[in-house]
Amino acid sequence: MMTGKTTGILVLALGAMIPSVTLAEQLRFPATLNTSGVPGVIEMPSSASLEDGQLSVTTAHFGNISRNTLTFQISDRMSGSFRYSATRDWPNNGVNTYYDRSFDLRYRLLDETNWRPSLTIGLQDFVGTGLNSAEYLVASKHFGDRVRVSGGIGWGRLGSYNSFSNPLGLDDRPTDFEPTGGTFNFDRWFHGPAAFFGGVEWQATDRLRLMAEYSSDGYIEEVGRGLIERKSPLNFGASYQIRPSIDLGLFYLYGSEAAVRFNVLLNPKNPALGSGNEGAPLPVNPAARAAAMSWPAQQSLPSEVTGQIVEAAKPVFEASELELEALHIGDRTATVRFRNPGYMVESQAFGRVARIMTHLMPQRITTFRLIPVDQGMELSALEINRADLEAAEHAPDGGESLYSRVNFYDPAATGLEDGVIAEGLYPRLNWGITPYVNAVLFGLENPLLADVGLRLSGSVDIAPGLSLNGSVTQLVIGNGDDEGDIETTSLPVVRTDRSLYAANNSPAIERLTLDYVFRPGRNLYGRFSAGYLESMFGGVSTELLWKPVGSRLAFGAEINHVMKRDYDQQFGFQDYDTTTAFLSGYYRFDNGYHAQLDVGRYLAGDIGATLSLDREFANGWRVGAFVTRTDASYEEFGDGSFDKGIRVTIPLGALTGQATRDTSAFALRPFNRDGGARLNVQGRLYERVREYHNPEVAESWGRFLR
Amino acid sequence: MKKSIQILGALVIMAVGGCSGGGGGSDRGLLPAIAENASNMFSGGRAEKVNEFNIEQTFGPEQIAAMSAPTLAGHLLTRDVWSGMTLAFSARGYDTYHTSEGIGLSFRSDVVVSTRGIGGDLFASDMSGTIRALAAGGGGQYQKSMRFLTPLSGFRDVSLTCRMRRDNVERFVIAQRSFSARRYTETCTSEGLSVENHYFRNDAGKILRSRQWLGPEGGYIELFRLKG
Repeated sequence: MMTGKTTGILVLALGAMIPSVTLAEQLRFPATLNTSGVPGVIEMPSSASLEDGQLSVTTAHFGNISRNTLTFQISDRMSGSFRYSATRDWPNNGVNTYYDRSFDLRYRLLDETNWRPSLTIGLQDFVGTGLNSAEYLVASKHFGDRVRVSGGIGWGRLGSYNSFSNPLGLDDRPTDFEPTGGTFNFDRWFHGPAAFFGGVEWQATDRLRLMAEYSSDGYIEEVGRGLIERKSPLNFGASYQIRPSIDLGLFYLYGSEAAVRFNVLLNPKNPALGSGNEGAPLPVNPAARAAAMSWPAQQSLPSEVTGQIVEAAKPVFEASELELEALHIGDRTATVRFRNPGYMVESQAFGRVARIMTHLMPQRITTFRLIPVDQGMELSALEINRADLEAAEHAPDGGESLYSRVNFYDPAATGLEDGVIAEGLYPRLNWGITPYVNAVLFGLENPLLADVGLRLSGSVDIAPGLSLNGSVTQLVIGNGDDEGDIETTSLPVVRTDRSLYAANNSPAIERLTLDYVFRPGRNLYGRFSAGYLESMFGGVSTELLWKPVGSRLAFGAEINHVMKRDYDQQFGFQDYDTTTAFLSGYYRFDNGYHAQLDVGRYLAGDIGATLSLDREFANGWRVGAFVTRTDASYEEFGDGSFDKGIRVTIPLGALTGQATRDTSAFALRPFNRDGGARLNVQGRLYERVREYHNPEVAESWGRFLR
Repeated sequence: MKKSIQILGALVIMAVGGCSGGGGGSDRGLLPAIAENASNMFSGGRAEKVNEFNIEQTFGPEQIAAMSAPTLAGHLLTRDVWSGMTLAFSARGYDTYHTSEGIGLSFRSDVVVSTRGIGGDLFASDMSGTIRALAAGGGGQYQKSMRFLTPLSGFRDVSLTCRMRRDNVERFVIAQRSFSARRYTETCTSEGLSVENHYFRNDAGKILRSRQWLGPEGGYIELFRLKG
């Protein structure tokens, strides 16, 4: 279970959700990113902040040292960083380079005013071996529009040059490295000697910035090993903005070292393609004009006629990146069930379907009921009055007020009535061949383990809700099996032998499952999967989700009984089976923050909980972090002490501007061990369902008429 | 059964074209309209410059006569791209034109009221002040509002204070044909923003040529009426 200290950190992270005053005052000119990839001067931190939601990737190199940092401005005031450092000619783990992974956290305590600087508190490498651990308080003040001066006090690494006694009286700071790393180094924070640092930035031109600083980092270990020379505490440099999002820095450090720093910024709130440039929708066809269509006089159409209409309408949906599943035409209401393969923002899919319906339906149909489905499972229903839609199309408010007049509800009990399912959907075979990359980044002995190959994917939609899904991979090239010796502990080996799976050069059955999704009742969603559930485990998996359409809160339960698969990833199993079970709680906060708590039994039999916190943007970007604590001790877990990491999901439509739900997602874990490991079963319910619920639909309603 | 076949026939036409404008009027199937006209007028895709294009000379009366629907030529100044757009739908006083690249512009009384697919779209607007001022041949101060879609599906509103000035009658050439129309200059200001639009309106009240501001991202577009 989580310790009080762990909980404290997560509460601190949740505190980032608290809205704060605008950052505008802080942005006289944007933050410079230092060689550690956080707002700073050259090597030292500053109190400046990135824009809310901004992501930065920074790589910096000097002497034998390289640092690569991903920083995310979690909220207006809080930022977090993941850093992968390499120090060459420093033997460790049998290789001649010391690879280190670390996390930073910063919080801006005070905003700058006319008479007061801004003030930021920072924790550097606060969870890890402690190689680079430091803490600081730093203040920054602008003078005019072109000069920013920063000064602060540092501890740990930032208190290692010209230091003095700890002003807090906390003189005792452990200096040894943590044996397994990965734990919160509470006993180091703000302990030990302290030192002052400071620097100045001058925005010389629109693109050129000149900097100078006094560094309090003594580089004691590196100097002792002869890795760098430190002749002076002064650093100088220049930073040039190649493009608004790309910056190059050249520095002269410590009187001896030349350094280069390159960083790229991107902000999910402000993508390069703006609100997207996917094609224009169909105009809304007024009901009065639809009357001119030759519709029969009878109120209810024979099913064969509806079937003909369905077949004729299918290409219209396809032209709008949608798929028609079923149609029912009643006296006054037409109900359409549709799939949304095209639109990342679900409100946009609802809107496009509504527009299509104005062209398909006669004047007597006054209400459209739009039901998105996933493998035949109803996700929600949006009922809209046709006249309201017509009035909203060109309304100056862009359809914003339309939302108050739609009915949004759970259609679980409505059924298909006498509607007609489009032909060719059941059964239907879908397949494709795509390249794949399986990568493990930032290892202790190897920065990149990656396998590249081809993946043949296929699925058969057997009946609404029932499908057969699978994929076969063929490795072409890679070094995924080059992970070195497997470090085992007393925990069963469930993930640490992944290199043995990666060593398979023959066609591998990555997944082969029979899946069934269903609606057991109002607000309830169910899933059952059986077969080869993932590349390392097979068995049965079942899940139940409670999620009202309008609720921010959801609960889920999942039980899996699985066996470990043979390394050749054919049909055989090894002699290890286990039952994993979880109760999950989900909550969607305001401003796109999302929390998930999973409590249960993991693959190695350890019992504990995983807490995930994500910042989600309405255009599909997600950035988050997760931490798992179980009853496995730090020693049983091994390197890293417990499972944790960060994850990023990038919607490809935001990069291309086109209508697509494809995403690219990656997770960065310092260590991928056996403790806290979960089954990677596909198609978990919550993510499939909630995008078509509130508050997600309401928050993105602006795109309904896009 | 005959009725149902008629319905099916209508829907098949819709389907082949990608959609339908319904029953009659000036609307047409969108995809055929785009395919027949716009894509034939200009080469290149969404972002391709057509530097050789000359609105005065590239087309002649024969090409214009061959166009089967009202057609505009548009020049997005910020990106220096040209594209043709064909009337795809007309209803309730709004005309929607589409380009072959899938961009849509909706007009009311020849004034752009919304865009789709440009990026940073003019999502909705209240241009009634502009329309009234043009109809009145100029006039005093009025307001207009423009609403833009943000990347996070929110709205950004811009409220402009405008005046319409009645200028001289000018002669100009579109597709080798000479026209004369009175220029109207609309100047609009907002906090930190100044916009100047031009409308060339003939005696029949039709705008033959214009330069209209689409928003901070879209910038200005020049529009030339080729047919209709």
